Parts: sequence; C-alpha cells; structure tokens
Amino acid sequence: MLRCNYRGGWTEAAYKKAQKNHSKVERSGRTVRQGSSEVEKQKQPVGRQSGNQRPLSKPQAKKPKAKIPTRNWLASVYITETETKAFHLQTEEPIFQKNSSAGLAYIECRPYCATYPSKFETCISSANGMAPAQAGYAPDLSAFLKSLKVQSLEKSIENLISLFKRRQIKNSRSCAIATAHLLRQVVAKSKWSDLGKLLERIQQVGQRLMEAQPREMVVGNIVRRVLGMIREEAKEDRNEEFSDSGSNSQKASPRREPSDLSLSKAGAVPPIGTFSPLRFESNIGPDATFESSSNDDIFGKNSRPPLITSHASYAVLNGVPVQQSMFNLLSTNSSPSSTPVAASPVGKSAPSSAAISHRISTATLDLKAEIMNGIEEIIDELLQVDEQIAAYAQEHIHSNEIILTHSSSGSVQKFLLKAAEKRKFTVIVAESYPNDHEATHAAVTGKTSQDEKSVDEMSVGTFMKPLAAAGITVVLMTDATIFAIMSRVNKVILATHAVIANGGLIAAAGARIIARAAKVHKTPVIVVSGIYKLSPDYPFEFESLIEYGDPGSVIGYDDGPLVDKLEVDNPLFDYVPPDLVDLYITNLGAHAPSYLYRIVADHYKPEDINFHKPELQF
Amino acid sequence: MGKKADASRPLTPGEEGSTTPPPLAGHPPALHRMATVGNAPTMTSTGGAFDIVETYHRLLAEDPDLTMPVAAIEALIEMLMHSQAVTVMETLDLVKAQSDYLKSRIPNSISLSAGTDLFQRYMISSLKPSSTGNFETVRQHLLTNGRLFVTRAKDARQRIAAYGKHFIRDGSVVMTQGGSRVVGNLLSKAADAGASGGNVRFKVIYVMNEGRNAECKAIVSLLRAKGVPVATISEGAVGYSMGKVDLIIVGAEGVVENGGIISRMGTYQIAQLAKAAGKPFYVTAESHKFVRLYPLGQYDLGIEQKVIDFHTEDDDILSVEEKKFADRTPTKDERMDYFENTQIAKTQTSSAAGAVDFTPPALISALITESGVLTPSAVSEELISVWY
Repeated sequence: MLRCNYRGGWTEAAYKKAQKNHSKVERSGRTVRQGSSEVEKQKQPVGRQSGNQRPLSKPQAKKPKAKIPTRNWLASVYITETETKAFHLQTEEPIFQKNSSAGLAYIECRPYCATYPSKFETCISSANGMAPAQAGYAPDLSAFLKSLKVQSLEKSIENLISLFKRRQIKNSRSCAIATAHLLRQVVAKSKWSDLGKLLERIQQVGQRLMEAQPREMVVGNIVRRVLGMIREEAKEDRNEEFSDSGSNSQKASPRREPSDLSLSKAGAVPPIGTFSPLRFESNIGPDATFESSSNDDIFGKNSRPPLITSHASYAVLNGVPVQQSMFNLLSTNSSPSSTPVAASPVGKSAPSSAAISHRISTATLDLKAEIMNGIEEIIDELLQVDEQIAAYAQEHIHSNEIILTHSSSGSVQKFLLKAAEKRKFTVIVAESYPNDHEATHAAVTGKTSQDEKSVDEMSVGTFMKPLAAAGITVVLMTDATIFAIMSRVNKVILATHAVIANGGLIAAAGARIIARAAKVHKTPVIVVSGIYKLSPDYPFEFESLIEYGDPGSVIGYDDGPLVDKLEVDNPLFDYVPPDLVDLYITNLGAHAPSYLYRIVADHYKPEDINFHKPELQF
Repeated sequence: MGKKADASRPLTPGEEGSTTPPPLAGHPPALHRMATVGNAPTMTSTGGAFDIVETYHRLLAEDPDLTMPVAAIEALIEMLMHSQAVTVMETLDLVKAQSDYLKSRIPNSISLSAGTDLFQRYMISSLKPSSTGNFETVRQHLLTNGRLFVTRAKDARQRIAAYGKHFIRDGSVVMTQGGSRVVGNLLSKAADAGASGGNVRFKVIYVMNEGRNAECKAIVSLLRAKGVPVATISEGAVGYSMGKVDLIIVGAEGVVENGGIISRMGTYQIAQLAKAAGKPFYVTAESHKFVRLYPLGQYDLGIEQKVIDFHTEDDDILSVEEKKFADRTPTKDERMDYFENTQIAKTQTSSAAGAVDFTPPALISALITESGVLTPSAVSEELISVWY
C-alpha cells in the first residue's frame, strides 16, 4: 500500500485518523481518461507543490512538523491494491475514492481552501504494477527488472515509462540498463516476421521511452545502439543470403548482376533505363527509414558486381556515413533507400514465393537469438563499464596529486579507488548541496543511508568501499570553496550525466563552476564517462537539457513565508561546453573532446540518429 | 554558347587526345600555373571549340543558385560530352588538364577547386579496375545525370536549412554576413516555420559588405518580406552589436582540411569577436565545398589577393574639405555618418570586394552540412575518405 499526503510527506497519524472514518467515504471525485499521455500536462499541478511526486518514491516518511501552515496540507491519498482514496487532512472528510488502483487516477478536489485555486488536478499512479505487491517499497530498477519476467510486454513498457516520468529510475546507468532489458523483452516477446518490422517496433517503443524522459539521453542512446545492432545483423544476414543465393535469385537482394535488374529490389520501381534520374525519385519510398546504409552508393547496385568497392570498404572500415559523404553528390543512389534490408516491406512485396517465406521464418529464429545476444552484450557492457574505465586510472592519477571531484558517482569512485590501490594522493570532494550531498557524504565516509539503498539497490555506492577507507586523504568541502581551492588542485575529475556529440557534457549542477575555475587556473579537467552516455543528438539549445529538480531541497515547504515570496529554482544539471574539458576517459580509452564525433560515428548508425524526429529525416 | 558547343562537335578524335601532359605532382602553385596557363586550352585553340572557362561562367550566369563547385562539375561534364576520349587515361588526363586550366583562369579558385577535385576523385575511383571497370557506363552516368547533380546540390541546401533552422530559437537574434544562399535559405526557412504557426520569432542583424551591396540587399529584403525584423549594420559595428547577438551563422566558399573555412572577407573578424564574446559561431556549407587545402594562416591560401596594398602616392587628390578634416576636430555636420547612416566612402578597391579570408577551426562552434551538424574536426575525415 502506498500512502502519501497530497501536498507533502507522509503522515502515519493522519492515515490512522482517516482510516477510522473510512466507512464514511463518499464518492465525490471524478476520474478522467486514463493514459500516459495525460500525465505530461498534469505534471505542473499548482504552484509550489511540484514535490508531490516525490513522496511516492520515498516511503520512509518524514513527519510533518507542527508549525506547518494548515493550507499546505490538503489531502492524504491512500492507494492500495484495490482502491484509491483521498481524505482531507484536517477535516478528514473523504474527497475521492476509486475502487480500482490500476492505471492513473486524476483527482479533482473540492475548493477546501480559499487561498488555493478552486480546481486542481494531480495524477496519482496506482500501486498496482508500479511496486508489485511490496507494501512500503517504492518501485525501482530491481523491482522493474523482476516484474519484467512476469508482466506482459505492453504493461512493462507502460511501467517503465511511468517509472521514467516519475524519476523512480533516474541515474543514467539505471535508465540504460532498464531500457536495454525492456528492449530485449520487445525482441523476445513481440511477433515479428522480418527485421523491418522489428526495427519499426523498436523505434516505436524507443520513441515512447525517449518521450517519457527526454533528458535521460542514455535511453535514446541504448535504443539507437540496439537499432544499429539489428541493422548490422540484417546486413550480415543479407550477405550470407547472397552468398548462398543461387536458387533464390527471385529473392529481392540488393546486389545483383545487371541482368536481373527487373527482378531486383526495383521490382516496385519501374525500370526505366538503368540510369534514368526517375529512378532516384521513385526509390525514395516510405521504406527509406528501414534501409541499411548504402555502401554501394558510388555507382549503384545494378552496374556492379556484388563485391564491395573501395568506397564501400572505406565505409566498413571507418563506419563513415558514406551515404552522406561527399561522393554522394555524384553517385547514382541519392539516398540510403537503395539497399533494403533482407525483408523490408518492399522486399516482401517483391516476388515472394512460399520457399522464401519459409526461409525467412527459419532465419528469423537464428536472427532472434543473435539479436538477443547483441542486447545481452550491451547489458554486459553497461555492467562492466565502471571497471573498464577504472583500468585507466593509474595512468592518469599520480602519487601525491591533489584531485578535485564533485558529487557522488560510481564511475569516479571506482576510478579513484583503483588508483588508490597503488598510489597515495589527496582527493577533495565538493559535496554538491542540495541535490546530491547525502550520497556524496556516503561515498566519502561509507555511511549509506537507508534511503539510498531502497531507491536503487543496484546503485554502485552500496557495494563500494568508501574513499576514506582506501587509504587516501579525503577532504570534503562545500561547493562555495571550489574556486578558492582550485589553485592547489592538480587535476579535476568530473562525472557526467550525458555527453553530447559536440564534446560538451551534462553533469551534476556545479560542474560548470568547477570546469570554469579549472580553466582559469589552467588545471586539467578530466571527464570520466561510459561510452553509453555519449549521445549522437546535437542539442540545438543547451538550456533544454537542464533538468530542474525539487525546489523543496533548497527551501523546505515548511518555510511558509519564504515559499510564498520567493521563486526557487533547483537545476540538477549543468552544461559544460567542450572547450572547458581537456580529456574524456571512457571504457574505450582516453579521447580529446574534439574526437568524440568519431566515436559517435562508430557507435550509431546515421539513419538511427534522428529516428524519433521525422522532421530531420531525409 | 550552346551553338558554339554544337560547333565543336565535329572534332577529330586525335585532337582531344593530345592534351598536354599533366603538371607534375608537388609543383608549387605558381609553377603549376605557368605550366598550364599557356597550353592547357586544348580545344580552344581551334577557335569555335569548347571552352571550359566560358562554359563555367555561362553556367553560373544561367543559374544564380548554382554554387561554384557544382558549376565546375557541370562544366567538366559538358566538357566530357564534347570530348571523344575513349580510354580511361585519356579522359583522366583531359579532366585534369581542363580543371587546371579552369582554375588558372578564375581569380579565386578555392571554392571551384573543391568541385574539380571531387570530380577527378570520383572519376579515378569509379574507373578503377577494381570497382566497375566500365568506362562507358561511368561516362554515360555522368552525362545523363548532369541536371540531377545540380538538383542534388540544391537539395543539400534544403537539408542544411532543415537542420540549421533548429538553431534559431524563439526570441533569438541572429547575426549573419555576406550573400550566402545557404544562410538565406536557412533563415527564410526558419521564418516560414514562424509564419506557419510555429512560434519562432527571431531577429537578424545583417552585416553589410560595401563591395557586395546588391547581394546583401536582396537577402535583407527577402527576409523583411517574410516578416523578419532585420537590422543592417556596417562591418565596423560588429563588435558593438555583438552583445545583442545570440548566435552567428555564416556561409562559406570552402571548408578546408582542418575544419576552418574560407569565406568572404570579414568573416574572420566576426568569428574572433564572437569567440571573445562567447557567442556560438556556426557555418553552413554543403559538403561538396570541402577543399583539400591546409592553410596555415591568412596569407597561405594559394591565391593572390591585393587586400593590403601599400602606396606612397595618393590615389586621388584630397579635396580642400578633406584636407581641412585632417587638421582639426570634425564638426557634427562632417560626422554625419556616425549619426545617420549616410554613404560610407567606398575605399575598397574592386579586387578587395571579392576577397576572402580564412577562419581557423578554433573559432567555429559547428559546421551545419547536409549530413548533419559536424564539429570542425570531422571535416578532415570526410576528405580523407574521399582521397585515400
């Protein structure tokens, strides 16, 4: 059972009182259409109470203090597996009851208090499905992973979307792991007969996930990685198919001798002469998005033996998006649309005999296993990434250095611990108040709070030795002293939330101050980040990437007079431009910020980069 | 010229073949030019024959939307049409000689050379025995698809606009300069988005270049017609205006290997001012403008520009007024140009009007190309993938 006070924390007492009046519950609320799409606009209920989502994730109640102005407490809401109820806190009058806890319930409250808008709505997600039957435990990554096995696919997707939206899974690595696991379920459970359909399905799911939490850029990264991996499989599959084609020459295979031009993929395209410009127009079909990158754009498939040309080999070697490269201007195929994947919609509409469909179905089983394997590999990478990064630690941290770091991050902590195995050095940790200071303290002293453990069991902090125990000197200080201490610092090591293709990064608030101060003092800034955080998105507006958190952690809601008079912002992230960063250390090694575009090109297929933005697809 | 080209049809095949040997690789540009200027016009010597330079100019005049590299490619294709070369080597020689000749006859050949180089590389790579090996198909492909390349090059501009318009946010002030068609396209696309119900309302500060007034005015009036507020400033006012600017978008004539750009004179200083003010500086360029050139500085572009021209004698005699002006503090009447934007003296010589400068990559935030938004360091990779 989940209980929360609508406008604040949790009150046991209020709940008990309310329970006494339970029988008097009358139905006065109204439910609105259920559905996740509604949630967005509900997200900003009334003025200062943006904290209303927080209590759901924090079952460990902090008791409301006595001096709290009464109008701050409007309702307490109880969600059990069978019903949802809301009571007015003072009068204990029931406001709302709904005999179901599935989905989302929107509550319209009566004008209890004249100082507040007479009408407001909030969304309450039911306990059902969110925290599977574990009373008192907020849903988190491990709960989600467990539920994944038993729930239906659609429910899992909905579940993850709401977890993202309510930030019950935050921390980019957890998001990445959750996404990868969900996509594996999509591959395993959904029905697909060809890779085109699968790609389409994953794009759909991916788009929903990305829209749920656009600032968790890792979600999009993982989706693109999976898409790219499937395309890769498709290409291999097709190549094999070609090599043993022979009898299968009916099958639409993109690379074909000029002789069977009319039978090739262009089956849908009237063959008006080999090089008629018309072909280019007609080739750009709706299937363009599922096509694999055309390596053979130099001279077109029809005039060329199936072997790759020198340019195709460049493409394979470097992973350069050849279909967009300079030769594109002069090449025959204007777009990647000329080589369909093994069985894209066009391929299917082309002469498909029973033999072919049989072939596809048997091939699908193999493919499925391979794709699942591929996703497993991505998950493995996510689990090992910190160790891999830490392997570079001893190259970068030397004896007697003074290192400045910021906030709590598993990657940085592992990195420092690894270096501490061999070397003695000093670490200065800025605590990053107010959003991450507790976790930072925990990382330094080793006291993990009850709170953190329950929020994310997978969180690395709980398994790790605190820095202070590693035999290095650790200094904890406030963010305000960053500039003052910078002149003594040899190196700055930053953790990151997401890395952008231009070489900039999104990191915990305060990172830019550090990077800037380091620049002034010419102190090298090293960023520690897994490749999975590297996003191919080019953000056109950096402000849009900054997430704003609960202002209650800056000024508590209990501070009535201040809350009324001030507008309090609490940005969770900072954007650090690339020229403030000297080096990135990823699981692949150390790179200059200007080299990151290359890694992006290696890890993501160009056609996947903007798959969720139709206006940027060509 | 069309008739002229027809007249050149009945040429003896032998004549086409007899091109001069291509200049040795590694020749410095000056020597290179000496070697080619005199004897390269293989087909012009016979009077009414095909002239690539003329074709190039005609193409540019016919289609004002054509970029220099694409015009060069078109000219070379037309040249191929007239040539009777039958072997691969012959054709490659011919293309090379004609490209060099064309380059030597155009004062600023940097942008153009991007086109000729791309064409040559394309010929070489597609005529390799390992790829198609079929000379005739390649030739046919090029001849039949000439128009397609042009439309594709123009499509690239549309794509750039589609990417680039996202940089322009509601309420932003964009500074731009020069008559770049890509930038004009981008801005008008962003303005269209505003008109069609989007909420992108932006303003433009247009840096006027006295040497190219007509071009600038055309774009300014185009934007104003779309309802975009445009302020025109002189180049001297860039630093002054920089504080009001959110981002700078400029075009480029050529993008060089290190990711720097060669662009209209004045771009470099804008980029430096932008860097000093911490404003993002974006460059829009189609990828066929990537040039294989590695300038080390402003004076290393491989072209001659008479921008800095020292004299001891005056160009023209100072008027009595002007002489007085030099001796005392000017009165308000004499300084009208500060208070009202009267005609600023055209001190620029005609040679400086077409001049270019080099903006190093460190000053460029990103290049907006049709293949996406690239960092300057990504340019070299594109070039390498074409050349090696």
